[in-house]
Amino acid sequence: MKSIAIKSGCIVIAVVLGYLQPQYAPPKFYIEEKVAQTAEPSETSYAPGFVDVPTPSVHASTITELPDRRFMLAWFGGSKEGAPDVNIYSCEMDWNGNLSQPKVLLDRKTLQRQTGRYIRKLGNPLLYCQDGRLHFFVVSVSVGGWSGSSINYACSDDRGETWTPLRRLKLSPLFNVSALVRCPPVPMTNDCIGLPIYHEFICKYGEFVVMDSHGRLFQKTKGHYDLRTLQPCSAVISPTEALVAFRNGHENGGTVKTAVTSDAGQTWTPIPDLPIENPDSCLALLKTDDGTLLLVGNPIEGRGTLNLWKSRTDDLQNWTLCAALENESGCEFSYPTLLKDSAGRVHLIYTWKRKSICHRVLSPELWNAEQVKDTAQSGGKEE
Amino acid sequence: MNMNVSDWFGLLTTAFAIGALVGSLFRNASVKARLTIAAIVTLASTIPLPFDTRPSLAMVVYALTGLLSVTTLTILTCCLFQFSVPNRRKRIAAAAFVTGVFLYGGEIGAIPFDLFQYGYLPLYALAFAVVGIVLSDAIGAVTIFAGYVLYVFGIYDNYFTSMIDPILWVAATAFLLRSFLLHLNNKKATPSSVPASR
Repeated sequence: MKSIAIKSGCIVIAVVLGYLQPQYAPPKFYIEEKVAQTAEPSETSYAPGFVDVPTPSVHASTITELPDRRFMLAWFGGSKEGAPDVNIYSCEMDWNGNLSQPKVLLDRKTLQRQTGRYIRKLGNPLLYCQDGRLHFFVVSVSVGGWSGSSINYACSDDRGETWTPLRRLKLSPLFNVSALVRCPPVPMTNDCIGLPIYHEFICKYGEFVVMDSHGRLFQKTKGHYDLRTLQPCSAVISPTEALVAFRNGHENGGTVKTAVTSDAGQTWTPIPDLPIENPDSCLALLKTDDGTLLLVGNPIEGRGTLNLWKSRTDDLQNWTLCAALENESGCEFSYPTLLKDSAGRVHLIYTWKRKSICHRVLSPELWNAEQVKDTAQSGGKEE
Repeated sequence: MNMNVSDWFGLLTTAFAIGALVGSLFRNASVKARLTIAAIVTLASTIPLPFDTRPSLAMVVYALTGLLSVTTLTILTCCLFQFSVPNRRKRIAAAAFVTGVFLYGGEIGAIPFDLFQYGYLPLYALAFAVVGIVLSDAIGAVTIFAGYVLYVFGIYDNYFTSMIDPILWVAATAFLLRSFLLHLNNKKATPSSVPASR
């Protein structure tokens, strides 16, 4: 009798709490209205800019546009990837591409203090601004290699002046390890964010996470059944449709793995690989205002070539090479990130020989012109 | 310290778990002595260690285990107070084992069903909690209820992580395996121990 009373009481209170809790209505992708071109091509410099980095090695850069038409960049830098002295650095960039001096955004001790966990190394950062709120994701490792990673999250309402305490997102039931983030999120309705993540523990696969603007997680779905796909990058096609391209993690290389959704990320269906070589390197994907899909990646092993391809949203199997943005064997031009700003300009940032972060505004002529252009000769940095 | 509530909870419960585990190892000691040992070890586990970024033992363990489930914390508390109901052990172990197979199997891609994703959805979490409360006894019901409340208040991001963790699953699997082997041994031993009637 006593047991029944206890159980009844628990059920009644649980139901009341459940009723009071905000319910989850699956959001759709948010499509921004096409913006008027406020920056004339003549005003925009297409010359590459380089961040004056304070460390010998840098990698995995991210960029977002702030509400005041400035940009914020972040990356990890230190003596080498995975070293204990690796910090997350950030700098700001004005509308004309002038970069500020980098400063430390996060170090291991701060993350350890804020999450109450021992932190061995820091990894990929990700910045994303939506409705004036700046979201910051960062990969950390407490034990092992990158397959032991976790994603930490904080947000800021004052352009990164102050942040909420970082907290580790619970994305895996298995000791909450092996969740990584790399490519930018997509905006969604209902004050939500669609975040592409991936796992590297035993199997490699991408997932799509839906969270609200306070970091509360609501949905997590697998992106591809091939268990060698990672670093998903997404492009929204319509309020319910999106394309995700994956880094092909197969040891003997292969082509770009892809999946599509027609229910705003609740389920993902693999489609035939894109006819683009991808020897285990990160990609960047973007849809421009005129409906062109842009893809940036390394088609040759060694990451010495960085190419730009284009396609149309209604013809995902035909891709045209637009430009070889970088081409120098023995060097690394990797981890590209594409961003469309509020004026419709397309920004590209990437790791430049692990020595700097290169920023470019891509000229629309690159994908509007028919012939392939090799801009690598003008894209090098004087050492 | 600028830390969010969930991580405060995680760090403190990890420190408690270390203390409770050590305290419950002293089986012949009185409850008072075990509690004292547990309290001392709990406090000691928060002292910074002299390596790297000077993390405490609790920080290192918390980094490895993540948030421990309410079920694990309840079991450790019961062990500390030497409160045990033998009949309940197998049921808890079986429930933890089956849930873990689906959770962890789906996570590593061994089975094409991802149970974990439903733990983020409030309505599913409520349904799982109500079914769990109905099927369990009073202590189990309170444990499941506590897990649900902590999930509602955002301490646990996912309802399943408030109910089960890998440590509990490994312990449950080992317990079931041991029980099964003992059962097999008893079965083998029984015929030979009965004297022949002829």
